[in-house]
Amino acid sequence: MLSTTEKRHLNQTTKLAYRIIGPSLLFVIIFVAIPLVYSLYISTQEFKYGVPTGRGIWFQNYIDIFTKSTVAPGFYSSLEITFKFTIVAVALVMIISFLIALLIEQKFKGSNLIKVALLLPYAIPGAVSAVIWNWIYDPNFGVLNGLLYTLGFIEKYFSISSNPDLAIWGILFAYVWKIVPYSTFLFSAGLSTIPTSVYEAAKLDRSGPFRTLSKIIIPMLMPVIQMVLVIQTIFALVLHFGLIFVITQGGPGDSTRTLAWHIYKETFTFTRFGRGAAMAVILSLIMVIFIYVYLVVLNPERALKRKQKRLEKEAIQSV
Amino acid sequence: MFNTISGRKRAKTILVIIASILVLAYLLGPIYWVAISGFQRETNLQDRPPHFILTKDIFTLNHYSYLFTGIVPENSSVMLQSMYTMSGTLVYPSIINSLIVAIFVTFINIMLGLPAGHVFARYKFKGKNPAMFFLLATRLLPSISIVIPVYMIFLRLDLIDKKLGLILLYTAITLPFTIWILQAYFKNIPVEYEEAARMDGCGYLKTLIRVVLPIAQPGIIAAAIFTFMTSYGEFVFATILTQSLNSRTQTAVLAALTQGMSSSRGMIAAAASLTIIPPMIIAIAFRKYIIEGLSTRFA
Repeated sequence: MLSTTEKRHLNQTTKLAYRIIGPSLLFVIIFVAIPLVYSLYISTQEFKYGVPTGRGIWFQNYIDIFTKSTVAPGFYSSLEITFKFTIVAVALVMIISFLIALLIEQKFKGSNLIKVALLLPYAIPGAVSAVIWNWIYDPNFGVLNGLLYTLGFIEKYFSISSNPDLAIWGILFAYVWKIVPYSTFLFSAGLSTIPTSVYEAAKLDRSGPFRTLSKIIIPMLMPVIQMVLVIQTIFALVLHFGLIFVITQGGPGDSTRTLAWHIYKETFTFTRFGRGAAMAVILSLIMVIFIYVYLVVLNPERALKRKQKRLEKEAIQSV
Repeated sequence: MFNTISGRKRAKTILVIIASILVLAYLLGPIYWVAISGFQRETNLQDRPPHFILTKDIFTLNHYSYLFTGIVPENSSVMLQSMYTMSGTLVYPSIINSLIVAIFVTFINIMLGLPAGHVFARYKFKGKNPAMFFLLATRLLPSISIVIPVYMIFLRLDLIDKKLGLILLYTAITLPFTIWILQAYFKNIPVEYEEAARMDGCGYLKTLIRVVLPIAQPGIIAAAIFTFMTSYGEFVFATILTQSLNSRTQTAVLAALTQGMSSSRGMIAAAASLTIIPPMIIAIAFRKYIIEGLSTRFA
């Protein structure tokens, strides 16, 4: 228990603290928290031709999204595309960035050059990277076609963005290019914490490079790998929006209509604000799961506390 | 020399070199291609196969001169002239808009985020953990899930198509990250420095400016750069909340430019090259701070 003087001190610092963090909190409350709550409210309202009828319809929008025969299939397909995209994107990002991080850790003259090169895709705004990749994929004059043609892989130029099987891959590769630097530096930092003595010990044991990787490096990197996995999932669920806007507009057909794009279309093209908001709430709920895992389950400070508690418990039991 | 190096080591060196070339080509290839496309004549851009290297006889500054002056190159055919769509002239002013917005956001952000980060790192107060969790969670939520209400709030506050609106909104979006990165930074600075200043009779603000600010400089620079990059490159809100050059930023202009199927590819490439110059210069100039920032949890 706190003594009264300690309590008074705590009250004083609390007052001072909120005076200082207050303006920041206010910004976030006005422009993020209130909109979130407002979004919940809109999702329970009825709209006709983009105008609110003033009628509260509770969960009707949500029920429609999951069950109505004209609405649900589109929603489910967008969900499926989003999940597939996310799984493949996260897997690719992790493999590519891990390999680049391994390369950087070889500590040779060019490794700093690679680090600086990594900063460029990072620095380029997502929407501009979409414009760049759109030009690379150009069906008539694009350099991808030109390169494959020159090397003899194709005889005719082809279109990526208007081919229902290829379009999503086009989005995926452009996305991976832009997002890879985020995880590469995290992996690289993780790798550099493994002491060289570990590698030397592995060498003495005549452990081959693949065995060293699977038995030593990956287990030691597990906390970083988990962290990258979750944060990349959070990114992949939504950060592809600019690419879809520029390169495919959700098409051809519905092949690149992810949930984020679906929400955008429902809201701003078809002006179904209520349904759009309801879908946005569902997307947020999906993301909250991953955000919770990232901030709470994978939080190093909390993980440490949990470990201490477990050790204490074991100690008590052993006594 | 060579026979002293074992064969295995040499094989490894060769492998590293090949891998480096592949990685560099992968990372820089797209940027190289868009950069040289902006300097190629439209007719040469339509050649099959394309020109992979920029040579003197395909070089032109027409695309750039159009972006800056709006004057369609005279010596081109009618068909080519029609490809220079009016929206190309919006690119340069929209880059200026983006820079103005990003600079204001960065400034406000550091002014508010620096003391807030310091408080989170140094003081125990009621509701501290919930407040931090609240800030962090809002940062990770997707912009698409608040874009509808933000649009409606902006309508009501008359902030649609105003730079001020974007500045306020982006400040709110970027503040949590700034606070988080700065409080993590402050935690690594020994508290004794500040206590010594306090002993000497410095008030809170004076301690912050005289002692904390100089030591925390690298963290502040990193936070400022991340804020700048986020605001400069934001797309979802920019495309929905802006309408004219009053406030339209470069991402929105550029994305709209590609929707005209027949616009000049050279002009688009030049526009894209132009917009990525400011963030790339910043990235290279402050590489040390950015790499350090990206290597920590949360970036």
